[in-house]
Amino acid sequence: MNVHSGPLKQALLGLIPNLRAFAVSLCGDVERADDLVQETLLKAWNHLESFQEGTNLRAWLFTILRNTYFSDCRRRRREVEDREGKKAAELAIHPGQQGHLDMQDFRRALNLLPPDQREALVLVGAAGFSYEEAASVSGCAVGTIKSRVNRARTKLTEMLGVNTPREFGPDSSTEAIVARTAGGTRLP
Amino acid sequence: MNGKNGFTGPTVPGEAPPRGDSGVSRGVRQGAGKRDARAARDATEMENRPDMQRAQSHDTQAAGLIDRSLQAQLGRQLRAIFEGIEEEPVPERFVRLLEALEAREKQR
Repeated sequence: MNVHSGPLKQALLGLIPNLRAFAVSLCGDVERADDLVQETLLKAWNHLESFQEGTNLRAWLFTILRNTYFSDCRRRRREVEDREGKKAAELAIHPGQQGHLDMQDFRRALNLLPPDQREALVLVGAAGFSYEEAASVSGCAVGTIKSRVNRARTKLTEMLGVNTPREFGPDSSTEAIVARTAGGTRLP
Repeated sequence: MNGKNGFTGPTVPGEAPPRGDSGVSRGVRQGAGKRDARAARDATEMENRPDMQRAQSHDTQAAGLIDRSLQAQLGRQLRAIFEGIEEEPVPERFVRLLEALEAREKQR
């Protein structure tokens, strides 16, 4: 790769914004996300021989990043849960400015999704991967990605639906339906 | 293109619209399982009672419409978070890291 290090550096630089967006969406924490991105860049640089030229560099980097994240999660599961619990509590107590509220709620709900569902949702719903690409990044079947995305959607709807019924009509029957829909699906 | 439609069920290829027996109705039938054990029992009972299932499916259709606007809204929020970070300038630490890696490479 010695001869390619210049173009490689440019390619990596160009993909950093995308990687950061994925990392932040995945772990909900900018500082940790940047650590993930840094580790991903180092691993990519040092293991370039395992990258097959002509294949998707972005998908390869995303794969490294998510593998790093998930093995990291396994290693420090307890610590992460404590921290995210605290973070969720802080958001609940300090909802911030009015115009900001919905987005805060959304971030919190996103962080409360099981990580595999959040990953699938972000890959397909924000990063622009097809189901097939997302499945290859996550190392699972296409059907698994589809069902994770569906479960993530359902769960977000449940978590956030009750807070916004008036957007869909102020009458009580609508609210009753929304409340019922938002009743909750069993966690997998 | 899938990426832009992550939330809008019906427009994603290979996926059934969120009506009838799609994920939406599954969600409703299983509804409240976690938070409310009694509701979960009711839901289980409904599975075995066709008359109650009919009422349920009527609600499901109405809920499906609400669901879709809500999901479109959630999709916009998800992309807003993602794109918001994408638009941030690349932090200096990464520029320095890549320069250092490149310099090390050239020394070999």
